[in-house]
Amino acid sequence: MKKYLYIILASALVSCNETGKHMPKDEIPTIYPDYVGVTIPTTIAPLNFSMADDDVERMNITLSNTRGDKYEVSSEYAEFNIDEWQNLLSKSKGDSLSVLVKAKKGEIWTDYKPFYIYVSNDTLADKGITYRRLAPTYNINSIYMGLYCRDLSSYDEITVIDNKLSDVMCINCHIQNQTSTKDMMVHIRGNLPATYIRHNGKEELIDTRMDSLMSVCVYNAWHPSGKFIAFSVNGTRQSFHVGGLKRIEVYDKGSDMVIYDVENHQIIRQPVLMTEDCETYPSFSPDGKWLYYCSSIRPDNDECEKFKYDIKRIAFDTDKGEVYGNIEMVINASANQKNATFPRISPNGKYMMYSECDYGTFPIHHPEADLRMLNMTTMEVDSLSNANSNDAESFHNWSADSHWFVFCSRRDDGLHTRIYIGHINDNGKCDKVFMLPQKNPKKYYMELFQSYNTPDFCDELIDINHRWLLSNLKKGAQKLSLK
Amino acid sequence: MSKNSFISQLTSKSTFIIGAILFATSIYFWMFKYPAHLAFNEQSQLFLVTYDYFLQFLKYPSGIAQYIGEFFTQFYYEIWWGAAIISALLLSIYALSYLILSSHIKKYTPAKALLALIPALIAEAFMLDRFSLLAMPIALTISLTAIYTYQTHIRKINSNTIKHISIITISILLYWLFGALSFLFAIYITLNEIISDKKYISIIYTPIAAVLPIIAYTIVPLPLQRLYTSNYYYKVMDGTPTFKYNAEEEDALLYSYFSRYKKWDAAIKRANKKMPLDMASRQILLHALAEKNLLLEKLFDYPILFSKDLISSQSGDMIEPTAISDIYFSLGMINSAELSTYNMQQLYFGQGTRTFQRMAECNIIKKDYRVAQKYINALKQTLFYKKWAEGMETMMNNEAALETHNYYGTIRERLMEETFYFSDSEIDNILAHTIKDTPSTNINFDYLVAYLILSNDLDKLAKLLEGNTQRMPKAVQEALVLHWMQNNASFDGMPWKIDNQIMLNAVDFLRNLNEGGNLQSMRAMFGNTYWFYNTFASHIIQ
Repeated sequence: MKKYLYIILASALVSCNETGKHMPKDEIPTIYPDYVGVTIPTTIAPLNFSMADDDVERMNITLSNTRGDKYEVSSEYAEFNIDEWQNLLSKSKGDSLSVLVKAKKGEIWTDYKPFYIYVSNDTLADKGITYRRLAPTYNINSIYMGLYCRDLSSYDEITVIDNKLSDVMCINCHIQNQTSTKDMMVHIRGNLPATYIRHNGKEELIDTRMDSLMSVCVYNAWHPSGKFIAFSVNGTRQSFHVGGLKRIEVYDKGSDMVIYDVENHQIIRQPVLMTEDCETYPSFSPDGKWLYYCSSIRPDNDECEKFKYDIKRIAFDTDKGEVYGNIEMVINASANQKNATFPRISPNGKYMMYSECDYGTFPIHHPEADLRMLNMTTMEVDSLSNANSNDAESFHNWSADSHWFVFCSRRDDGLHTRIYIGHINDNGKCDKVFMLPQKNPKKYYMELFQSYNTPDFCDELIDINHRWLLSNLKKGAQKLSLK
Repeated sequence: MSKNSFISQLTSKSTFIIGAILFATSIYFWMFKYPAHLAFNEQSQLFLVTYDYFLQFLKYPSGIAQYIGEFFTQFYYEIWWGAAIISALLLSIYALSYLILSSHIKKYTPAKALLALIPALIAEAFMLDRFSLLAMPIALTISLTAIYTYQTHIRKINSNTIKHISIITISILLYWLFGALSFLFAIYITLNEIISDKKYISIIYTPIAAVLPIIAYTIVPLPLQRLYTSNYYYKVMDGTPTFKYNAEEEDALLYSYFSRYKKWDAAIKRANKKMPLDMASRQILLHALAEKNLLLEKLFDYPILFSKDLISSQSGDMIEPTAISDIYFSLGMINSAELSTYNMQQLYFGQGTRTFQRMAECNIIKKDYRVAQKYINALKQTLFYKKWAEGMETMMNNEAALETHNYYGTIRERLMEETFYFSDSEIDNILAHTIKDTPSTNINFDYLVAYLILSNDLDKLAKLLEGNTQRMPKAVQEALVLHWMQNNASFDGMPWKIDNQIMLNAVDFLRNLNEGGNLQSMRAMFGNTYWFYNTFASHIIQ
């Protein structure tokens, strides 16, 4: 009863607020972020938005589903109440939400045609996402950077680690085990270097520095059993473009891969993963029987433009933690003068998503970089036109149920990377993706001078005890043995 | 203490004189001896006049001290305001110290006035470090004010309960808002009440204050050490202030100031008095000469030692990495200018007005207007850069205005659009690619010629200037003469127009050298020539 009273009052308020001349417009509104026609899960935080036009003073928005449930707001921008929004979404599962916008500029109200937001039947069970936020270049350790965990059903963000904890601490690649936070790892560089490992809930710090390896452990993938992590070791270099559109290249002068035995604290080396070529970006198949990775020949003079990675795979012995058998080509990108990196296989094993660009190790710095999705049954590649843009897309990861994926894109302003979430429907097609919601997205993203990167879903919100971490970093991390 | 007593304490002759001397010397010092430090502090912060900006300072202990500090630091935009603000704070610290001391030593003596100077002098010494923030003297002023209020009001509260609650509440508030210097309040009251009033219960105030950082530690993700030393008094997170006057650093920052405001004559004038010591300052000097079209004429009027003094991937010492960003920007190497700006932002500056201006400029020149708009929007929320930002925004929406703009139009013309990588070993090739068939890139040509000369790459220089029959600047003539003499027996047939005097001097140089001229004697006669640089620079470095 009380709720209906609110609705009546809100409607009355909205009506009262609409004094002035009304001009119907036969087009949908141009809004920021572009949420027109996107597909969302029922658990997502309200997709607040603004009119792209900064001069709009007020907006009246009516959300409704086909069953007649309705929610109206009137504000400077479309700001929805979390409870009301999620109540409406829970009633709209598998349905579409009509979004009717009226925008006031001066004394004129413009009444736009409604647009639609699709509420998927596929539940996103993962509660949050983790990501780094840092300056959009990588020349030096960033003073202002951190690893954060965002609750997807609200705007709450937890600081997992940031470098307020210690001077010039670089928080590097991190990953959960197929979104499970029981197994997770984070590299910490700087004055107190270590790799944080959480395995079956037990935390420890390991030191991956070894004379016989090219570098510390870098890019990584958890074996689904949690017993192993595949790491690359990389001779990373940076080059800077003096002119032109691109600013920076990050590439490897050489790279190998090793397997880390989590329970025995041992690095396992195998010649097949340490060849003259560059092996990097490991990823396991969901059954743990295959190790996928990227491989490029090492060009003469280490010319960055000539690094063309293919995606390959090799069988993995889940007991010994060793690879065996022949290497198989999965994506032969170099044959088409292309470059394929960052393979990520959906937990249901149906798809492999990867980044495609012209060359190099870091597609995020390449405007031409796009996501691609390989159907593992038909071996057909989907160009994911609903996910890609004219700017760079990269750093993707799958949700536990394989219906959702999170990735980074520079489409917002061409430089600062933002997070987007996409849906793969039952037909194996990608629906229109949406930008990570914020309470006031236009203001938030305009005032954010950092980039997001390496987003990954997490089944639970992550927190690391800072006191434990700092005191153990100071004590020093555990040394590893070598096999 | 009555109002009359308060005034009479402060206006007693010796107190007044010492206060006046403190204020006057401080003003003089900051305006004339240390102005570049003020400019550095101003440019390395971005104080936004917004409610959201204010709110973020409430999240950490000493945040409000930092907020007030930043508010006042923005006025350093005018150096004399900065000098006045610091001096006024020091005077307040002195006056408060004197008043507090007067409650213990009633007699008016010059010694008391001098003793009261100590906190102000400590604050002054603290501010000598370029990373020291105004938050510290502000926190000290507030803490002393709280102590003085205790003496005049709180101490006289009859109810012990109310008094305890007041002191503890003030201690908590002071700590959260102004940081660790607030401990002075609790320590003072504890000592005062135990020694003067024999109230031993007051011993609790100090441990209560001491435990506040531990409580804060459970709330905010900061190391305990930083909560005890205050997060916002010093810009470098784990650094320690030097408490020292640093003339060399001031000199380097002054060159940076000249570079920022394009005060090229001032940079040259200063170098004429005293050659800059660090690489960044030498780069700024050569940049100033280039901007005044004097680079090749006066290249060896200063003891330049390396081609890196002209241009390099970054400044050598990182005192002031802005210099190289200014040079790249001038030469139209916008990506490199942007990268240097990121670096300085990440290293020392954080989000500062200077870096934000440069990022806006770089992205406007490159037509990355979406990125530029972000920086413009931020600067529009400041007090002193709002007008500049609005002007840039107007220009951003008017390509014709930008193209014809006296300064930005020139930089747009010089914009390097070719894609290739920066390399310290390829600087001559990079500079060669920046030269276009327009007069606006004359400075780029001068840089290339100067680079070849300083690299002693005379073959490339001769090839570059093949067919040039115009009179060339002194340094170029000297280099070309030497190149000719290394390959020919006489001056006959030399294809360039060389001044007779330069040819005579060259012969003279060789004769003196062959006669065993040593470094000192040759420097006296030929120290400002390329021939001396070519022959002796490596000896000087050793």
